[in-house]
Amino acid sequence: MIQVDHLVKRYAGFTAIHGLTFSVQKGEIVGFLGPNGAGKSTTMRILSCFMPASSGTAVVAGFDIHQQPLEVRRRIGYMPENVPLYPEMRVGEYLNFRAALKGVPRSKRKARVREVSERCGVADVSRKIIGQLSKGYRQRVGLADTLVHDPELIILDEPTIGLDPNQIRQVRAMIKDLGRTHTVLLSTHILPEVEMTCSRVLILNRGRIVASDTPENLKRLRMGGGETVIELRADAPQAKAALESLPGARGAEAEALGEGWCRVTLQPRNEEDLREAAAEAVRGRGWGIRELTRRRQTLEDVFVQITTEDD
Amino acid sequence: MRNVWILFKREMLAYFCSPIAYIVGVCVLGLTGISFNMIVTILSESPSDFTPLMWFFNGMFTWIILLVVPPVITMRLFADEKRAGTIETLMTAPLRDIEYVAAKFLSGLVFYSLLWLPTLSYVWVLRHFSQDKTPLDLGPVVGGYLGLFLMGMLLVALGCVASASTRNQIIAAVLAFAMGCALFFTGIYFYLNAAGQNREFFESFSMLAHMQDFSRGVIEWKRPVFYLTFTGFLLFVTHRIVQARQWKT
Repeated sequence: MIQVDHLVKRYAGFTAIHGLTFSVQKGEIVGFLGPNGAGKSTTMRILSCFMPASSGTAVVAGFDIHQQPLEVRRRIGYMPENVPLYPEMRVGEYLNFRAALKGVPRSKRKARVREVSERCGVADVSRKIIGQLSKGYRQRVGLADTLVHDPELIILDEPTIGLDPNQIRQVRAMIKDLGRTHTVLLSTHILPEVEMTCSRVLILNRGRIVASDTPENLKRLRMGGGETVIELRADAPQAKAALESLPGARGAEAEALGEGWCRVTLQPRNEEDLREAAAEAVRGRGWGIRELTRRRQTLEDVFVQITTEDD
Repeated sequence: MRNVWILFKREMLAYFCSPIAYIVGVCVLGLTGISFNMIVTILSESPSDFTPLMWFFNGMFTWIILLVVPPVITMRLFADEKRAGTIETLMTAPLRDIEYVAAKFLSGLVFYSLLWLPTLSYVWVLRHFSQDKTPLDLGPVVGGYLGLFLMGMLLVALGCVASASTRNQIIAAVLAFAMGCALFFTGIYFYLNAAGQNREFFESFSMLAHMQDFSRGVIEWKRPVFYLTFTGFLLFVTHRIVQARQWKT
């Protein structure tokens, strides 16, 4: 669906993206992840033919973005950051205008607008003036606009920014739902969002792709399995020595918590789950135990690690 | 072409949804009304060599409207799309830059023309109530309104250039007004320099001189050609400014 080949974008004075190369298959939901200024929006603007790249090219839905931008535009639905809309128009009017502009034939326009309005939950406000809508509704109007011509590819720039938790949940559900029938490329810097909605993540930092995989694989790849945390009634150095020597452990740290308790953090060598072995070792020495957990690594840890690595 | 029509309809809707349309409309009607009233009063007291329409089309109020109104009605056209970011949704729909410029320009021009429409009633009033029908033959009426249309067209295109070059509506309006004034005063120079060289050159820029011809019912072929080519050039400039977004840096 998307084939990006050594895409570069230079603005006066600095380079926003340095030779991006990646591809997105049909039916995937791909998340663009990166800190602010990583080049997410720039890449999306180039792919949606709003502006050209300085060098390199991309093929979107079978058409080259520089040679046949109008053909590309016909096949994509793009929602910019902050969802710009015309505040003086009514919701129904706006969607109708957008449908016409995107070439939905007059005979099908009404039905299409009704369909996407219902799908995005704006059917009940179609007579309202956009300027008077809440942020959540505007976001949905924007989403309805991106869908109105039934595009093959949907590009969403920060689709949940500025929404309250309930609205975020609704929008995510909508995106997941869309993923069943469309290819979706979305950008965000909210990590749980990617974990919940995307089938693949591209992590961008300073205009380069620094990681690309499924959210699960990324988590696994970066730091192996999670570390095991044990709180036990024992002398801290003793406990550290005992647990460190377990086969499969890479290292351990211990800190005293007072009242005879201490906490040991155990790093596994590979992806091994050390809980059982640790419990065995503790029981063997007759120490009391009050907590034994394996800390799950979040994508956030991965993200922070990857994007700050070269600082 | 279809896209031009779709976008044009939206622009017209935007005009009539904004208070500016009504404020401008009221001001234009007020100024032309005062102007008309003064002309009728003066002419009923003392006879004049000029016809009422010449007074009307060459009066100060007409020039105020011509210089002020196009900047005000065009300032929003391009600048606001950039400020609001809606340019991004527009330009990622299958819409050509040239269609975008054409629709914006046409909506400005049509709205400008609509503002003058009510003044046709003054012509009717004169025709209906004056005993002497001679000062009101059709020539000066057609000529005068053609002049208003052509000059408006040029000034609306000038407004498009200004609006496309900034995201701030105020700057757009001031810039368009300044450029309009520059053009107007170049024309005044024609009068100040009446005996000097290059008289013909300055005459070709002089909206003031053109309007005197138009309101006498004299339509020389070179006048419409001047306004059409100048407008075409300005729209070309607007198109290039809109396309600057696409420049590869």
